[in-house]
Amino acid sequence: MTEADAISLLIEACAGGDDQALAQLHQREGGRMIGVALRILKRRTLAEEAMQDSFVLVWRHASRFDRSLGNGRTWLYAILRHRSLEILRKESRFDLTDDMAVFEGASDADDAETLMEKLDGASRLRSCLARLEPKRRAAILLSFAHGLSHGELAERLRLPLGTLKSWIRRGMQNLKECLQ
Amino acid sequence: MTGLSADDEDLAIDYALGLCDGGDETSANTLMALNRAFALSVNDWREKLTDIDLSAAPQPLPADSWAMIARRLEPRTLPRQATGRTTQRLRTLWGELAFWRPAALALSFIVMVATLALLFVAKPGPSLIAVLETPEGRPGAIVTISGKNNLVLVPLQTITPDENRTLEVWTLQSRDRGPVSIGRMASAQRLMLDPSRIGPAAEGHLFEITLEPAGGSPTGRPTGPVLMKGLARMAL
Repeated sequence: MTEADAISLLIEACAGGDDQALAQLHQREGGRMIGVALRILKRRTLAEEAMQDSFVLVWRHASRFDRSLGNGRTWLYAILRHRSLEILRKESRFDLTDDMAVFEGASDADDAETLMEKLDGASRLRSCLARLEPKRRAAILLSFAHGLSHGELAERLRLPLGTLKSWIRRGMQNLKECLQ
Repeated sequence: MTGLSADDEDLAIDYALGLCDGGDETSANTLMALNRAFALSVNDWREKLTDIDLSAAPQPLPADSWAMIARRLEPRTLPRQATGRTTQRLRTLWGELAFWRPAALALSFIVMVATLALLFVAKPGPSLIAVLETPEGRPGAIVTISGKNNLVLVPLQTITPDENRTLEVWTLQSRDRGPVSIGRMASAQRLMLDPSRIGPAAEGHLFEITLEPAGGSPTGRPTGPVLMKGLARMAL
């Protein structure tokens, strides 16, 4: 059984009312979920909040999980990403300048390259991303991993918004062809 | 091929990357619930990018992490009386309403609808009408209330979910009681609603339609996305 299948099973057990399954899921994935949320939110307390909120949402919506639409890990991390982005938008309205220390000095191109280095060397995604034009690669990595918006990406990659959008879509299609 | 239009395919990419907001996000959320091909496409993109999530360094769990979550879990079978969390959920619902399209549009619509409703609802005309709006602020259905709690739902747009989904109609009469199911249907259609489990409808009562698993909500409370909602108003 793959790791993704194991997560699907635990979510299905949650749908049946088994809170021990949720506890297991938390034990198993919680730490990495904080890591994923931290990339978007930059602050540990917010990342922990996103992770915990996600488990409450998993419990509430477990009956909506449908394995025929995608595996449990994809579902779990989609909930986490969605919740993290909600928190990010809420926070950026209220305390944009708070906690300046979290902003790193590295440029965003470097940042996308750092994400590349973190990817497993054996990953096909990594070798396919490596073939993309650097700005397309950066746009995909920075939106998915760091939660950057179209506007933020356009500004940082110095591209007009329309160009950026079509680059992302073309980049994703290139990625798909490469992964096939 | 996914069978999606080029626009929906683009929307699926943006949604999988977390790039949707505002109207785009609402459209994508609705498509996720209603359109299987769209949901499959989004999940396929997400799955392709999974390695990026897996490359995040796991962080230590806070010592009380599970206890904090466990405290917030709703029991699987919800008791009749409202819990603090139900109240919270209702508050969220009310809060959201405030963000929906300005009432002006709805009001002019209500006047039109009230006239229309007189044509098809038995005499005397409806005393109350609720216009249910989609998250985009479009009128999606109306509920007319006449006589001794005769409630009729009249859809204003087509909704045809996958066959493994049911549309469920709810009303919220009090926070203590919480939302009560008053009708289910496979696709949007004219429907007599069931008033047997609710009190007399009154101004300010909330009506909403959610998307539920086939046969209706498994918990007796709304679990799926809210497709449209609106408050009952006195018909002039």
